[in-house]
Amino acid sequence: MTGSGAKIRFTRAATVWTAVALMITVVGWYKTINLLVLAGYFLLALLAVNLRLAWRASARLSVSRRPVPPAFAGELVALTAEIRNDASHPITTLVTTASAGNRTAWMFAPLAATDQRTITARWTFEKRGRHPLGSIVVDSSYPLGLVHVVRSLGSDAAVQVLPTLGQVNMEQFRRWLVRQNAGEGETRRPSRRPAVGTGEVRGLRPYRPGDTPREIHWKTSARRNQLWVREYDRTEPLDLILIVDPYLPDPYAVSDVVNPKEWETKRHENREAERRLEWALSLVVSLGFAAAESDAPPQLTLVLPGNELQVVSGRAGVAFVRQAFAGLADVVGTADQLRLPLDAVRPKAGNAARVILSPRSGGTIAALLRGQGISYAEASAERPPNWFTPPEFLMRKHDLAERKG
Amino acid sequence: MPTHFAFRLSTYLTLGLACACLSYAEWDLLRQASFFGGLVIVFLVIAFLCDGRYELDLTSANRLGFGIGLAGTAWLAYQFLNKNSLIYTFPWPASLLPYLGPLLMVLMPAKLFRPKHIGDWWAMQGIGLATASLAAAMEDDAIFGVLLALYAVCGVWSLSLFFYLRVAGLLPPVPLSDPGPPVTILASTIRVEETQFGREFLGRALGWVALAIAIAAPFFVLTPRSAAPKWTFGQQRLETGLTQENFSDLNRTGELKPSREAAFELTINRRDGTPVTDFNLEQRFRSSTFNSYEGGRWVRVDTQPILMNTARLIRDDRSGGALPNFGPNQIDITFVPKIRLTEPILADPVNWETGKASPIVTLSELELRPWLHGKDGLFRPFGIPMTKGGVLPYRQSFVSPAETDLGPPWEPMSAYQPLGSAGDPDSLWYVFRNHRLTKLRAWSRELAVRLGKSNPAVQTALDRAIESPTFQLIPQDFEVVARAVTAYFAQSPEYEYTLKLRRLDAAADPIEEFLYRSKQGHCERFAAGTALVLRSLGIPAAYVLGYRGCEPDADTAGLYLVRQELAHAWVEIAIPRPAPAGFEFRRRPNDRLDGKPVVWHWLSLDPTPAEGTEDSTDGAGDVLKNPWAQFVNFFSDFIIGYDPEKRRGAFEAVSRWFLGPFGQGLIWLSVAGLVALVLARRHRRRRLAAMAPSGIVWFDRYRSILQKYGRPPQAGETLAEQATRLSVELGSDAPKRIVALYYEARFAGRTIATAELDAVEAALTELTILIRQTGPE
Repeated sequence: MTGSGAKIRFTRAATVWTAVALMITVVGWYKTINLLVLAGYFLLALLAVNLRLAWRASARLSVSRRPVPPAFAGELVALTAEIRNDASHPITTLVTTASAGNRTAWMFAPLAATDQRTITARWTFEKRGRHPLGSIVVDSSYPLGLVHVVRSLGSDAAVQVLPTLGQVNMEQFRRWLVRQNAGEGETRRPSRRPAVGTGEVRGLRPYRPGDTPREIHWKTSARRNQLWVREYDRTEPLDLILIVDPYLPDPYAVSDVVNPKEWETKRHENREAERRLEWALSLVVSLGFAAAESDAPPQLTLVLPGNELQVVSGRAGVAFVRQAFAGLADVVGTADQLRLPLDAVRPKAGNAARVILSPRSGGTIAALLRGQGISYAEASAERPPNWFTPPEFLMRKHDLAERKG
Repeated sequence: MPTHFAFRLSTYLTLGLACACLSYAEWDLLRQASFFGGLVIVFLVIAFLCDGRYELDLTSANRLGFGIGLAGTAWLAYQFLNKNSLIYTFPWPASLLPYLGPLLMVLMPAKLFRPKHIGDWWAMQGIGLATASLAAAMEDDAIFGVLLALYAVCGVWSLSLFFYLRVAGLLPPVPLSDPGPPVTILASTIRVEETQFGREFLGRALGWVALAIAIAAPFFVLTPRSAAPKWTFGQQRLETGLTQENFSDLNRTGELKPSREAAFELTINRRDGTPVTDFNLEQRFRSSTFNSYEGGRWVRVDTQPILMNTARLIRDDRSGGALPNFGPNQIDITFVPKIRLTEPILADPVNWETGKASPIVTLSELELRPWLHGKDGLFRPFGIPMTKGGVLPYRQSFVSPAETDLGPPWEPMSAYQPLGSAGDPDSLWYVFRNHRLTKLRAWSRELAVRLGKSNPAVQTALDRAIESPTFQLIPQDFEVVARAVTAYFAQSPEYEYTLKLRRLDAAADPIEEFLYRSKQGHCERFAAGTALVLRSLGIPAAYVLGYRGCEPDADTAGLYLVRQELAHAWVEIAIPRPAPAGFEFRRRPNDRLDGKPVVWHWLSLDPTPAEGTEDSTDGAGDVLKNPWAQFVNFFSDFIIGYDPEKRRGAFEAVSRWFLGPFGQGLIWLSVAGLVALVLARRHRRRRLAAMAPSGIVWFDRYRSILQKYGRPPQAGETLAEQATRLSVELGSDAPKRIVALYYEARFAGRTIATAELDAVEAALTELTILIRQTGPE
């Protein structure tokens, strides 16, 4: 991208400079003080030299931005671009870029002729969404800094910011799934082996609260007069179908209430509803991320109901989660009933656990599946599961730890 | 990136030079200000050396500022109370200018010892500029010009370093302003030459100053000039040259500065119209003759007629005032005044003959107006007011006599007592022999006695002199004694020529003080002193102002210039000589010399020492040899003294040059050069378009690597074919991978993922290594 549409900006110092130069020239001319006339013209000429050199310094720069993968809110993102000097002379200039409250600046002092440098801005985006990346602005005021020639090298790039990552305990999640009886619905046959996959038995260990009673090794427990459970070496992949319910009740408006105290309450309800939606979305990415980082990444399917249904499926990996779950950046909560074709929630092959992630319990999606006899598990903000630590709690723990430290 | 040390050095140097400019400018006006400027410079040095180690807190700074303000107010109040101060000497409000200087300079120390943010540095630059501008309004000699130029260079140097540090965020921002994001500084190379002193930035500053001057100079030259008189600030600045004043004030002190301003332009032709190219460059031109001296001033008082017959104004000449014919050696001098004078200049001695036409005519639009010859001996324009006499051109018929110092003969009004009776205040000669310096008469007598001891002719004159009622030489001895006295002043080692006019005793008469005490002065003092000494000895003497010398114009034959720096003063005395053959008397005189009737002449005598006249002006030869003199002349003529006339002359000179062969050649060369430049740019653009960047940076790097290592595409080869060929030659599929990815990005519109870009980087590195190993094709 090469620059175009340069804007010339006079600093306050330049305005004063011009006024002083004109005053000196006029007084010198009127009083026939030739030295003052020459000095006034000299000052104006310096201004012209500044303008010309600044224009020249900004005219031959080109910028190429590297694509930015989706990032999680609160994550440090590296935004990289290459700046090239296409001129036959070195260029001294300031390059800036800004987006969503982040600003970064580089000064090339100088950038040699035909040279190219890479610049990287490391930003954090605190809020989920699609954040347009600001233009890369070349601001040249070489050599005196009186007149600025500003060129915007233009950018229609944006970065998709996914919900903030929380923390998921996959073990507890599996056990939770078992308790929720997730899996195929009516066709599920009782099985001694649970729907959750297990690996080879590595050994035995003492029972810990939360362990599945099925894993208790009775013989050893009887022998030792203490509960012992089997410990597995490897878990088989747990295929997951994550169904997002982006429920957000219609927010209260000021016109809906009659007194200020009631408005305060309603506003709080609005905020709480938004918080729950974000909680749910955060849960989705956290679960996907945790699955991707597990020892046996499962097959993940993400179902995003909406005006356009989005179904993304693939082997869980960090890169896959970023790319596949990018749609979460654009999720807009709605109170409308969303269309959800049942084919979307049936796995292509094998078993898969269906999990509804919602701000509320017993929403329309759950009712739909229940009506069709499709088994599912539901995690909602109204009844948060213990295997998920939301990001705000993680931050509090981090702050506490820092304070203690 | 410049160092902070270099920035501080440049800024303090700039401020120091601004103070130096103002101190230099105020030296003659307000010496206190100059000393104060020196003190500020000392503070600047201390502050620079302290390097921020010692800084005042806000309370201390406020107290110091209050104290400085109080002291400044008290000092200014004292100036208002002191009736001898410049406030009452110079016209208001210009009289405040010298006092602004210290008030400006005092602002610098107030800022030096405080922590400074960007706004403070800008403020200091502004104070420096105001200081230098104020100085430029009060001073204008070449040395000041050099100081100002140094200030300009240092100022630009400082501003450029200020720019770097400011943009890089290395200086504290203005409080409560948005400091902007932190700046990462990148450079293509790490330059070891970026020394502590920032020399390379100084070199660039010189270039920018030169560029700015090149831009400003044409505007300066082209700007129409104001018709207002040249600003002169301060009585104590004196320049050589005549003025519009109708008196000569010898009470002035100060240093006379040669002024290169043109006073007159002369066009000299022979009767047949051919230009004179061998005119005497030491020719005298007289302007004003003064006959009365009192209290240090020469004035001209009305006199009784002294001439019996005059040159006539031909009133009935319908052809409009033809000039007289003085013979085959006659030349016509056309005077074009460049300045306004009370009396115009004429080539001396002014030739005239009784009863013949006036030798001078005014060249008005309608006719030639002959000048009137008064019976007091002066020529005046007729019919045109005197105030305009110096404006319209006029022409003089001139022939250089055998005795160049001797004026033409004339018959006095009183044939029997041409000098009048002694002591008669109504006598004509009373005016030319009178003065009130009693002590001078005795001193002059003693001087004549001393001269008589080594000059028998003087002694004889003294022996023949009349003692009663006052000492008086006889007319026949006027010339010999006058020449002896003139030679004494011109050659005596006791008397020294100088342009620095000083008075050791302000209460004494300036000429007496010159003759008895200081014995130093310029041509006016030598001439005035000689005239008064001669008057004391009874010799009728007048004090004459005019010019001595002229410069030929290099381009135009017959054109000469008389500059103000050639202004001169001398003495003329009235002496009797035997009448030349054929002289027509109106009344036969009583006196005789050598058996012939007596006529009178004005004899010009120059008592100014010879080496003084050479020092007072820079002749053409000096200018060519001395670069400093060249610079001074250029500065005086084309910067300080650039007036409407010079502007017109510059335009004419430039026009003449461009119409000449060199100018025409330069114009055609410039046109050819412009055409060549346009064609070259077009060719370059076409060549660059063929190699236009693809818009994909990593692919352009791939192409530049191939170009650099001599692997261009073969004729008709596509990118993919080239990549395939290179892959075979290098034994690596890196080129194919890169080109494949380029096709996808460029033509399929696919966004390349970060991981793929990393792979491209690796492929480019691999390609570079392999190519280097295998070498060019």
